[in-house]
Amino acid sequence: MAENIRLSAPALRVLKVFVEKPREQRSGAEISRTASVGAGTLYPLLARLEHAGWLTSEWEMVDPAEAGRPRRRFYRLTAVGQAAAVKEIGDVQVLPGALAWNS
Amino acid sequence: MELLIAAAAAVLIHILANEACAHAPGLTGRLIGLAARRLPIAIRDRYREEWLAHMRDLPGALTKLGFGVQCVVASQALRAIPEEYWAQSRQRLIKVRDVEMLVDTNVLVQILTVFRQVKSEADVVAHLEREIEKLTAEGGDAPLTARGRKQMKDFASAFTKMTDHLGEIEVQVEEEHEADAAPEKGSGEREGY
Repeated sequence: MAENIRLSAPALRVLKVFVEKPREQRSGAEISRTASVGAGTLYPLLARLEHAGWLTSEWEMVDPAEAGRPRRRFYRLTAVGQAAAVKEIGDVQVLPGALAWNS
Repeated sequence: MELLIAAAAAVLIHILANEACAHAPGLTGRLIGLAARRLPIAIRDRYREEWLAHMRDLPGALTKLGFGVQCVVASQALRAIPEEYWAQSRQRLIKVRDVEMLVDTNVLVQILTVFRQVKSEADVVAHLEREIEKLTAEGGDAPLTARGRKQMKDFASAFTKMTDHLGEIEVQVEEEHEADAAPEKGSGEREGY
């Protein structure tokens, strides 16, 4: 699957966030803050990564009526996504605002 | 006179800033509503709730307002994705030891069939590959789609890495997931993110 995907710099930053702690699930707000990717780019990106099977998502386990707030949607790396992301991130070194290819 | 103008300007800016901050959450909510309404029906409610939750996690009224604008931008990109992509389908999360992935229900049936046939984990990949070949060649009542074939291959690929030890195979299938079905894609297609 990974060979069919061309990853942009924001996508690599998002994947890096997940790879650092692959078992943890994260909300869109947390991903946006940690990866420094704006919502305009982030949500289409998450949708496509989810479609590719790299990420999976589920609702926060709260009752919105009881909690008095909307539920967060949590994203998590799949096993397939983890393997592919590690490979992709291994090929490039993600720097703030730039990409540098590892030699 | 200049001092008076500067003072008046400062007061005016202060008032406008206060007004902007007071109205920003409501305006952001309206922007999110607008962004959500631009989306296909199948995902409208999901993103509305997700974005409202995201907005609540942001500090500051102006940051929230900026987020609302970005949601409109996101909706433009999400709208560009073909509508069939969002057609609702049901998927299951399958877990076998450390391997887990979301698969379409028909693919889950194929994978479970393989697991019922095999005696050891080492056999699983070989059986999966044979099953893919058979279903691809025969078609039959439930021919594998390109998407299904890809899911089975991905599963086999992920499982290959986990076959260090043999033993009893335990398959867990979690509850149904809301999933976004995707249109068939050509194998050579590249996606940009």
